[in-house]
Amino acid sequence: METSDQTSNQSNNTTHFGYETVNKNKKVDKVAEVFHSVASKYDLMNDMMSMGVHRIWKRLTIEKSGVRRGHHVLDLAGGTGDLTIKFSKMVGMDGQVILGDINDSMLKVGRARLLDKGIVGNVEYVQANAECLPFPDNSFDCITIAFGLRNVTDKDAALASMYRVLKPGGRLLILEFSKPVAPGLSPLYDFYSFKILPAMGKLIANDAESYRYLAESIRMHPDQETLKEMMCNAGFERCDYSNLTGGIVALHRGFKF
Amino acid sequence: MKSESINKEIPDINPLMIPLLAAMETGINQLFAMDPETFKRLARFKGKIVAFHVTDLDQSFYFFPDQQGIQIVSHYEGEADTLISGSLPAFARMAMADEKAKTTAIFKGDVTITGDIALGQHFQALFNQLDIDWEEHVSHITGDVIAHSLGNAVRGIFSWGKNLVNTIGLDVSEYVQYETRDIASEPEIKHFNTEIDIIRSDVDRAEARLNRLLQFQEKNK
Repeated sequence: METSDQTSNQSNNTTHFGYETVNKNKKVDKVAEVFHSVASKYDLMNDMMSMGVHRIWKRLTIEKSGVRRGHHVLDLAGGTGDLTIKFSKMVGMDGQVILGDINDSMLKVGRARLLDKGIVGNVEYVQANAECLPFPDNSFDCITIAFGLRNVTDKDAALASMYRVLKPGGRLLILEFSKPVAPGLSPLYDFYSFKILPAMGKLIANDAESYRYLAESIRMHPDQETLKEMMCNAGFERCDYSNLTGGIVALHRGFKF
Repeated sequence: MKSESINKEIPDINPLMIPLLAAMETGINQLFAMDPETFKRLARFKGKIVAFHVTDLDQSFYFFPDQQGIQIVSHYEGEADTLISGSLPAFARMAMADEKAKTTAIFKGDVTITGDIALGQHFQALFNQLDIDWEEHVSHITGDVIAHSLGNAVRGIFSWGKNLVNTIGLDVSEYVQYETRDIASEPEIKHFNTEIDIIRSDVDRAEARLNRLLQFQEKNK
């Protein structure tokens, strides 16, 4: 379903921004606006919206990452650095973590946060677009992208770019909102997303619009099987996914051999 | 260069473990925060990995210490610097024990330390060195006077409790040595060693005699 939408969008040069249809080159600006606006309250909002569960989702990502000492890790759309903080300890001083994000406000918040925690020495900060990563081929043992892929305009290009910069034997982990599979969850989830979230956004970050975009962008993101297929098409092998919290979030994993 | 992990079946993670890990991490770090010196000590362990393996649950915990505290994961595809293995009851015994019971536990093979043993011991010592001024922390909630009274009461209970724990510790080791006869007691070990010495001397004497006899036989051929 997603693919045919994309084909018609490509011929129109438009894509989706939540439920809006926008010009492709406009989407990246609109997404940027959203994240400039939420950056300072991002961590607080994550905690409120997911009631702290997002930490569990991220922990699971770390557990499945296979990251060890000396590894080179790319934390894409890493924003405020939750995953980078943990990876930094696991790769040790011989390894390296690159916190990559297209949005410089988010990157600044992330860098300040890590410096506050005294995490220096093995972390680099790079402003980068996932669709065309500025790294050499076969650079990373592990790439993670947590809650970032749905904001990317051309997901296929991003997957291909990630494949290119991954080392043979390396793995990609995508943590992202997906389609709830638990029965009866969908209506509850819809109510929560479209009524409660924007209200929270208004109250805490004084920005209902951005959180409405969030809810909509989740609906427009490919479902579990579609994303798995997209990964295979990009060249990843042994692709699989785990449904978390009834399928509200899915953790996809693929390898480069 | 292909990584080795390709051919290894990647084990599936028990999702229930994750909230437990989060709770452990938060709990331990909060405990450390109560004695701020600990973070300086932890900083010395930065870059090291200490693994605990609970044998009867077949569950591992990997500790990554640094000046911020400890990070814990249950899956790590590399090698830890130190591995401390034991059953759950064995770890419990080591946690409450005095030096003698600790040594007994290791001797019996209940708890084994492999890899960088010194690191393992220093890491354990960290927990022993925790010097938490509970009264100070409570006074933030109740005020100084109440905190001090509470402190006296708790100190009283703790010293009774410490005696209790020491007694239990003594009781356990005595029990294990004399009742269940699982391990030898000190006098028994001494006696055993003496017997070995006697046998060794006997063997030496017998050997000397045999050599003399053989020489005698050679001479008279």
